Amino acid sequence: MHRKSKRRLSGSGGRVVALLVAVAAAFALVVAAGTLAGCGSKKSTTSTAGKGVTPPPPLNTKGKKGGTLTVLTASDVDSMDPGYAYYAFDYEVVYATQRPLYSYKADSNTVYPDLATEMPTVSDGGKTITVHIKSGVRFSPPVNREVTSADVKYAIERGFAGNVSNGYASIYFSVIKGAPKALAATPASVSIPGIETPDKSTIVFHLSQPSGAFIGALTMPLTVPVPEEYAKPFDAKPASAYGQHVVATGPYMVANDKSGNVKAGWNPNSFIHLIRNPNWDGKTDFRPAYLDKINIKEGTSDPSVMARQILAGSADVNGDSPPAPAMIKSIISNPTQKKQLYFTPVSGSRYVALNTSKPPFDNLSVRRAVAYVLDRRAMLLTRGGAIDGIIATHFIDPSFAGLGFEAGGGYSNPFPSVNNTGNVPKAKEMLKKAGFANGMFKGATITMVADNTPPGSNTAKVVAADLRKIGFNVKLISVLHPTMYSKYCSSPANEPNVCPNVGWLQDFKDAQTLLDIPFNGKSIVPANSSNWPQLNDPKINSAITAAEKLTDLKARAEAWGKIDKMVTLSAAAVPWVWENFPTLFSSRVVPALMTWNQGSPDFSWISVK
Amino acid sequence: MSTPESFGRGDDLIEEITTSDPEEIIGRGPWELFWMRFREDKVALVSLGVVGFVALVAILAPWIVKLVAHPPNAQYPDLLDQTFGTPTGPSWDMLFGIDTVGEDVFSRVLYGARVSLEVALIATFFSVLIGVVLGMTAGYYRGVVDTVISRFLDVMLAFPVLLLAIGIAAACSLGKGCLNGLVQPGLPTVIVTITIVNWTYIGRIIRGQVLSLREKEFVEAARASGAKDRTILFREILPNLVAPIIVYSTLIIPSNILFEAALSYLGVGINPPQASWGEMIAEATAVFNTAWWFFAFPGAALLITCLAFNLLGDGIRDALDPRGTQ
Repeated sequence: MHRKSKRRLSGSGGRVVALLVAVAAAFALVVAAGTLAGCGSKKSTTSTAGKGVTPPPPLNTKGKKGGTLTVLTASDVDSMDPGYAYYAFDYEVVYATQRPLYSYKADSNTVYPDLATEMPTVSDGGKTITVHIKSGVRFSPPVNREVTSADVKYAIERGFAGNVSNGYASIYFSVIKGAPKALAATPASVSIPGIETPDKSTIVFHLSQPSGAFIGALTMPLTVPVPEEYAKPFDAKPASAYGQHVVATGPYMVANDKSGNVKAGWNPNSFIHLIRNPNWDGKTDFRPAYLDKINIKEGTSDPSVMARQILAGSADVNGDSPPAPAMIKSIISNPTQKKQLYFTPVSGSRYVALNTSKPPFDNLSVRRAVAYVLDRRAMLLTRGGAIDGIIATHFIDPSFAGLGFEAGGGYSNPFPSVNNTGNVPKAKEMLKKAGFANGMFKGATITMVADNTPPGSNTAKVVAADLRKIGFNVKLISVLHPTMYSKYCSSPANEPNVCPNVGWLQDFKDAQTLLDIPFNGKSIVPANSSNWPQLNDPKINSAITAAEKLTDLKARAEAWGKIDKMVTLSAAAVPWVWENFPTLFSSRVVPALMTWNQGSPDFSWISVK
Repeated sequence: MSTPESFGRGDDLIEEITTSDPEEIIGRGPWELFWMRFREDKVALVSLGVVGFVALVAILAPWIVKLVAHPPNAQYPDLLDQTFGTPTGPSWDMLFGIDTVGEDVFSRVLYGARVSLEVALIATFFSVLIGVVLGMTAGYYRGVVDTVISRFLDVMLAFPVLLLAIGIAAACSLGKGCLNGLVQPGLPTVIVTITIVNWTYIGRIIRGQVLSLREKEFVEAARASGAKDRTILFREILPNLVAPIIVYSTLIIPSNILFEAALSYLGVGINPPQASWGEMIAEATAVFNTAWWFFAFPGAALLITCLAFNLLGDGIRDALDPRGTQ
């Protein structure tokens, strides 16, 4: 199964290199809970994870119409194609220009029916999901016609085509009856009988088995309608060109020409210009869409410069990467500027992956020794200390607290140490268990591949120093962050012993999205693998397969809590931080955040003062 | 830049001294003369002192660190700002403050001196060795040999030096190194890179010197008396090259120190966790507006060391070649 893994976290934050903050959506509360019960309007409170978290701004309901927003980013979107988008910055553009079946209001984690009229109807023991869609929603020029349920069907079907390169269709949508087992070459050869469109405003999903994650996945950009008759020629190309000709359904659109080419509004790695979609009818939407224009300026790779420009008012918000930690420190000590900075907890963790496929970390006790010896407090400090987040000791993050994961044994810290500074005696004990006399590791030098820019490079230094404490000889190879993934950690044949700069985020509010992809043995693929520890434990695999089917929230929480514990105990990956993501606004705008998407700016809700 | 053509053999220098002091005619050797002039040069003397001090510090670094500081790779996360993770400044405990992972900047500056001098001296030695051998061969034999070597030199000089260096360093700084592991990543790679890039300057200068020396009377005399090429090269010409070799070696050392710093700054130099001034400065740039000490101390060390070597080199040149403009 081909899987793109854009949901991983970024590691750099540094000087020369444009950082791909591939931190994507911290999708939030109650998709599963709210939708199944049919009451998605329950207000959720933001988790107060960590010292740095600031409450999101109040919902901007009385903004002034008009004005232009200037957004600064280090690099570009991965794609304009909603079938490809799988990255926090992609989502900023997608959720302002498109309407998936369900989405979120700004400054909260509340799921709202977007293209859908209401929450889905579940029948047949969870195997039939029916969604009605709104009338009066029209595609932007040059398509102009009204959106129908067939457009959603085509959008999901094209997710199973190799040339669209969707990263999650085969995980969350393969449960639909008749969904292809292997990817097709192009969307033309995909037809999923399990998606029915009895009329223009109804779409029915027939599932082969109940799925706990399916309804949550209806918030993902794959459910954004795509007009088949218009997209067909682009989708026939070896790599779909629909992204270069994308049409919008949301309040904004990428500026385009008569044929639909978005060249005028998107110059990769240079700028993106979003303008109003003339076919958008505000009566069908809950977004206020105050702004007239959104200018995204790309290529500001220095996070200090980015912050300075925003504070000076020559730009309005950081789009894809955080302001430099040193700038954050000075902003927080200034009472006025402090109010312009928001920290949003990111659901998902960073961890140190230990390669379980070869010695020495194929040995459980050796891995556990590492889990004991790591000074997680020092590791957190390399990213910015308490303001940046809290120390992670397992994988299901604190935003899930109280939902029943504890019952399964989640939320445990099997490798405790004083202040999380590492426990050397315990680590040595583990090594003795593994057969190393006097508790010091003896053996070949281990390799570690890490970022060559801070903070990732600093984290790696801490990890290396900790490993040396228990006798490891560590050879540290420093490369660019994307190279670290593509050439080393995501490439099983070439994987080093330790990958200290990896991380994974949730796709929507469901614990499955935190554990299924990164720790399922099925995720080990020859290239672009997301299972960085190469964990292939039959017990964990079968527990995951069983838990995927559960729909009862309590049973589900317990099952995934159990898997959390199993993965944590395997010590194949040692989690160390649940982060807070900083977003800085200029003083001339009323802020609005996609709290469910790591606190990215929500263009549909921001207004100019 | 002119360099003495017949130093050590010709008698013109001695004549100059003796005419200025007709009362007392003393036969002074060239080194004696050199020292007489050199000690007049206060700047050069101070520079010599600084260079000696840096060398001493580099050699004694492990003992100094043991006495007044902390091991260079030990991390003290307790001393970082616990809210922002930013480093804290100089104190009695940490004389030069700490860096972003809580390492003692003082110890790392001291250990960085070791790396800098080690690289500079070894790379300079090899650059000079290659440069002298090839330069002498080209200048003495002329003809085809000269053409081949000189064109090769031209090609090397035409290369964008930093790009070439980054290329070599990047190719050798991963995995097992290059040439079947002959050039290991880290220090050896840096030394090889600098040598490959830097020998050309020496080579050109030596070739020019030899071209003119080989036409001198004493060489012709040696040739007339039946001396072999080897004898002429080593007994007649090489001694006359000692002065330029010394001068250019001293002047190449600081540029090699800077080169090492540049490579480490760009992330293709010394392997972490080994301390290097260039690598420290690179890391410090990310936090320079809140942690000046992390930037200032290695920066000052680099500046002072290079300046001292440069001034020392100038002083030596002046002392060896009194005809050079003061």
